[in-house]
Amino acid sequence: MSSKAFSILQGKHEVPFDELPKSFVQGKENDAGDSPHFPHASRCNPYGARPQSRRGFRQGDSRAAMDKEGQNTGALQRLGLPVRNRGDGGHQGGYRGGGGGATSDSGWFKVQIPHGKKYGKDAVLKAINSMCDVPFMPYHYHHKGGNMAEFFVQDNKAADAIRRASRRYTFPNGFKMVILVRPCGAPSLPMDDNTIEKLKISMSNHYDPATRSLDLSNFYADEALNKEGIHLALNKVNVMVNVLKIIGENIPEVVSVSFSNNRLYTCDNLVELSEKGPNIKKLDLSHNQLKGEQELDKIKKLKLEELVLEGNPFVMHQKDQSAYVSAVRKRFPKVLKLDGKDLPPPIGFDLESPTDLPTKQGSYFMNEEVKNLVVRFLEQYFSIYDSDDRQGLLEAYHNEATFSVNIAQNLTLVTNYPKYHDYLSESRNLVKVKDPVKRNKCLKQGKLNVVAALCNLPKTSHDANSFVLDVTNATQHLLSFIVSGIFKESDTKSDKPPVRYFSRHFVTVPQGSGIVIINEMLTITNATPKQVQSSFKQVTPTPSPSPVPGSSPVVSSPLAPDVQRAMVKSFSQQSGMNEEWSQKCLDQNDWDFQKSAKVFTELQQKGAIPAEAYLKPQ
Amino acid sequence: MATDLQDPKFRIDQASQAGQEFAKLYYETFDKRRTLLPKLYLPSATMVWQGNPVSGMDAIAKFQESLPTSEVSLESVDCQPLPDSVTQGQTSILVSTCGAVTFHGNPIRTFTQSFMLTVHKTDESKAISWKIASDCFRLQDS
Repeated sequence: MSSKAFSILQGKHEVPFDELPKSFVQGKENDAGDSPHFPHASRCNPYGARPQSRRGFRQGDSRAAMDKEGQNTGALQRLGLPVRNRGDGGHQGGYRGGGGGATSDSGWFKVQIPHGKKYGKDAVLKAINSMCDVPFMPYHYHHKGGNMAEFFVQDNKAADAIRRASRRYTFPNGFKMVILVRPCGAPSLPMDDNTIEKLKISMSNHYDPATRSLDLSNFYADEALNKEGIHLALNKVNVMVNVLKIIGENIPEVVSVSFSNNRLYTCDNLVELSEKGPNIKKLDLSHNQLKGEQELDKIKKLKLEELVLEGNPFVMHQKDQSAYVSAVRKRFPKVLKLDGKDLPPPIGFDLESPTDLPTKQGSYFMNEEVKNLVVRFLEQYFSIYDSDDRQGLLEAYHNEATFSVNIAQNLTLVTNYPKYHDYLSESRNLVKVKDPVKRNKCLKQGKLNVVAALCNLPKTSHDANSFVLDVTNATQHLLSFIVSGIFKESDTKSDKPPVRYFSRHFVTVPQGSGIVIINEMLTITNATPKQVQSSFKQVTPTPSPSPVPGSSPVVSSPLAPDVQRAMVKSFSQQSGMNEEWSQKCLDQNDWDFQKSAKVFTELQQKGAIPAEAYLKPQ
Repeated sequence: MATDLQDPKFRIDQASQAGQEFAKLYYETFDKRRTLLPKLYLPSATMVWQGNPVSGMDAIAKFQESLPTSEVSLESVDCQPLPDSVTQGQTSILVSTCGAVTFHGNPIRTFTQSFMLTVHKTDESKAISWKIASDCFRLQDS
């Protein structure tokens, strides 16, 4: 309906913040005080504020141009100018001014239409528009208490015009429309999902990914949001909380943030900024209402290199520039630029230790080829290791393999429960075990000894999703890799089976067409409570129907004949088919045990396997 | 009777002793004199630190220098000799360690670390010493 009329208003938001008519500069006289205000050039002002352009020129600096660029740099000087003094000086508390209507410190007016609800929003607004000669923008139109319709306008003239329309319109049912107009503070809008979504879109528009800069200066006057009737004041807790949340979830890499010109009275709501945007180096808080340098304490976790604070009361009251600089340096020792001016580089004692650890990366495989090899090897290794019978692992070890396990108390846990009883007799922890005889006994040599020792360790179930793999050496002679992760002991009767953290170092050598383990060291400690909680949550890929006792789990065909024979035998045992048909199945599936088993299972379910396949020679 | 250097028992004892001494020295140096730590690595050593590959002694030195100061509490060490057949006659051992580490400004965490050490002859002298050929470090998720 009145979208055309509304469009007239839009240019008004471009009026810079520092052009406040006197009535905006009063502090917290009412709740209007803690919201930003963005006046309209056309607003009726009892002191007859002049059009912006003229005043801008009169003040004789170049700020008209700068304002266009949104820099507002000259404000420090400006703030002592008559505009402000007038505002500070007089006309407090008087709503009735020369314009004839009420004025509001915040520039906001609440418009209420008793019984408005029953006519509907469109009808009410249309009715007001028809009686009102000033175009207006209704913000946050809603219904409250009974049938009251309520919205806000931010324009003295419009407010007056709307007030004059009261009782002049008669609804079709014969009732006259009563309109109540009162000055009020900036409306605090509820942050529903829709508003948060709009906020997110708007922030995205204010973010420059190239420079990683988020410019939320003068955010209250954001045109796109205002057009939708949304005013988000960054000095409202619920707004800032959501702003920080959106930063943390969407642009944690942000380097530069501006909250300039947002009437921030405190940094209370910015405490978490350092967490949400750990890379922030530049912060612009200029032209807010920060009253004391102690506000900076709340954000001192930011590792700032550049800070803009000019135009805040505590900065303007600084008598001594060097005191100001050291107040800033005290919180942000690395700041090199303050209010756009270069500071001398800080001179300190270079004993400060960094606290940042290199970012943790996932598995390191060296290259794709090694990755394929190692992953397949471990898949098959652990499928046997976690089965009821670890004997199948015999084929995975070199004849002269060496194995040992060591138990480490987890020093980060308050209690080391569950205890490690089942392992202690075999633990070759050289810090604890000094007896050379026990040290030797615990070092298992030769694959029979190794697998026997493995068979004696508690039965397990490993959480493959927890696995992290690091390959440390890959030459033609040996392949060395470490896998760490979580397992639980699966043969316990307890309904809370022990959950352990392990690190397992394998050194393998080529044998036949695959690899076998020559050295293995297993370190076991307890999982952290968080690991206990998060482990075994994700669905792991369907395990192979049965363990694979193939000696060289990692193979490229053709396999060594003895390996093939072992696979055939095992396949025959597990499928129930005779060896001839088992071999056929494996052969047709490139000697991939799992693939063969899958195909077999499918065919078996379809009844497609002939009876003769199960006939075994007597 | 002269010690048979190929005797498996001798090799195991040698490895165990070296591993223990190494672990003690390594973490003391890491905590207190980290600038000397690179001397324990071969020039061609490789390291994987929390999944970040670092190659060469110089790069490792630089990487370790960038880490916060530390306080390690060693909880377990194990050590095995690698067969000569695998290492082309280069005497080598594996060392696995586990303990707790507090990096300055960070909470205490459990770590596991695995080394492969190899005997290295310093130029122009007859002294031989153990050097780290590869090093793999992981922190347990807290």
